[in-house]
Amino acid sequence: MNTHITANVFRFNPDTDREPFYKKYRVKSDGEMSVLVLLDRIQREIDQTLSFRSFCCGLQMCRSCLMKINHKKKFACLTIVKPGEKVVIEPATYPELHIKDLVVKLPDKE
Amino acid sequence: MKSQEYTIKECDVLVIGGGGSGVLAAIEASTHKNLKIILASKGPIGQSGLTPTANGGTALPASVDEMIKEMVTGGSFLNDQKIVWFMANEIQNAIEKLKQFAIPIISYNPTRACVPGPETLQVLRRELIKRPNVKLFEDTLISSLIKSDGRIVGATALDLTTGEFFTIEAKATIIATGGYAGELYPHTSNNPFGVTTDASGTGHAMAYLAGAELIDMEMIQFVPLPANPQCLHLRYFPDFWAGPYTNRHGDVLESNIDSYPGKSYSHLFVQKLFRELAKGNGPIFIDQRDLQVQAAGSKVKSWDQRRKLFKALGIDPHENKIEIIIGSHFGMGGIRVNEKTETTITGLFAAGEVMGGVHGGMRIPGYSFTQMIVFGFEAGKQAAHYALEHQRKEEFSQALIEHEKEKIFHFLTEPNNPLSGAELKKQLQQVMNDHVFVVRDKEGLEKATKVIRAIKRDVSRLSAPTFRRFNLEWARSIEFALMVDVAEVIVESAQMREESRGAHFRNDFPHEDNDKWLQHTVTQLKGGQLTLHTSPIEFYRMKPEASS
Repeated sequence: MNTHITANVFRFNPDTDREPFYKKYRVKSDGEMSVLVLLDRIQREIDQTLSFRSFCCGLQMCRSCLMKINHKKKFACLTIVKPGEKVVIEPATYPELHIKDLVVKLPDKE
Repeated sequence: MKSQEYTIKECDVLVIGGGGSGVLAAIEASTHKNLKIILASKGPIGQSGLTPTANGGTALPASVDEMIKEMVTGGSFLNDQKIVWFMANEIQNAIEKLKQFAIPIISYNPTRACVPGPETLQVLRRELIKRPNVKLFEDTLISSLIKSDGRIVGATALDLTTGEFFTIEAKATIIATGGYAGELYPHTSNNPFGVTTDASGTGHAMAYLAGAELIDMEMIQFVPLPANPQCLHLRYFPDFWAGPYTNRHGDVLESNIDSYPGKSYSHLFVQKLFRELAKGNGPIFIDQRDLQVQAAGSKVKSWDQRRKLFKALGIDPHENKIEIIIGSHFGMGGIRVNEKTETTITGLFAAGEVMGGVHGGMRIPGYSFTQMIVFGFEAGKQAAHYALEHQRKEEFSQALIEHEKEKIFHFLTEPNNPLSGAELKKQLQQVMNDHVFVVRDKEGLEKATKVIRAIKRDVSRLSAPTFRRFNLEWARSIEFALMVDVAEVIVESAQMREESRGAHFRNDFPHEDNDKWLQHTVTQLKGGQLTLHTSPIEFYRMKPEASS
């Protein structure tokens, strides 16, 4: 039985990186979890340098966790991944409004 | 000392916090077109704080006297009755004022309206952006208040998007940073999907470190939460919580909790659940599968959204038997203020959950939004008046600011024996859960004091990666240091209150003691030391019955 989720995550810090790259994380998991929880686990337990917006309204309304998951814009709080699965995670927009990794700026007209 | 190495921003009124209270305060203060307003929020408005996570239920008075009575008896007479009186008198006006902004406010029964959190913040953010005298500093973490000659004259700040440290100088400062109960406990309604919303009490800590009084910090509300691991701690509607509640043997503990004052927010009910779990009769379930459900179509978008989610996730208690656990929800204690939102320090105002004295020993459903709306507006008004009447302080010591800057940047240096922030936070949550939870006693609280002091020493061992731009670990380390101060204040206050009242239950003092304890616990930092004293309740409107 599979016990890991594999995440391929877009990384880019414009202050220090010449260009964006993807970093692969194998996250141990005994059950399904949301992409947001997955990112939280990666940041806490594997790679402290990962930046993402961890805020979550629980309603799918605030759009804080909107990102590209397997190349489609989705809410990370409610996109579920299962052990054995692979997932590609990218910022909602790039290079427009991009800050770092998965973090983008909220436009004034949002 | 070298010339300063940081930028200074200036304004008349600084608002700290981008939830409902902060946004309303900024709206109100900015009606004075000659005042410059800065609102600093650690995330974008509508994407930070607890307002966007809330159901939006807002209590309205059947009559002013009824509302006061409900709050004061519900709060076990620990409320500041002048604040309660003001709130009950003002809520209707404040709601009318909100309606000017085309916010979809929906009355759903005579004493409740829904002020939808996410929509309200989206509308008001657009409004603030339109106003030329307002600047939004979103993604900005405020780390300390600057005090000079006994007056708050601004704050130190970190731009999270660049990692730049700067100061904001202000004539008047409003703290609207929300609650302190969320991050201190392993289980909390404040993290709807198991990911932190950072309800960390940093505003309480900053005010306390600047010398403001905090009151009744031992009063923390605990509530039942769904234990389902997939969507940990997702909040339900109040009507989902009525019951019946059963233990693991199938015994019905309560068939309907509507008779408890405060319903699922009742400390009496939560204490009952806690004892049942302590006896080994857990897990506890809520099971509404046999109930006739009214499929009431709602006009509130966020409510429909939430109901749909529950169904999709298989955690609708009308369709499933749901296991529940107990977690933290709300802090009734807070910064001491009067009904004008003035704190005990000149130039500093507080609005929203960060205020103490509003709810006494128990917050009733619907009353946090009432507090947010009334005192958000009021703090904006009072701070604006103060700013109009006072000059900015031009000269003050830079030493405090340099010290704060050093403290913040210390987290980016590698200590000898580094510790992970996640690990230290786990330790803090564990000790709060073990000894400062629903039921407390002297022995446990003394143990907690020891552990918290050790954690406080270990804060200097926290270390974040060295880059500046959107460094989550860095921001969390800065906040964690402040959280530990709050934890210490809670434990000391809980030790001092040798009785059981409201949400504070002491196994060693299991009764309410009206002879000795119709008093606030007051904590204040003096000469770098935590000091405690009590302050009697003023029975401005109501007195407890003599032999209760």
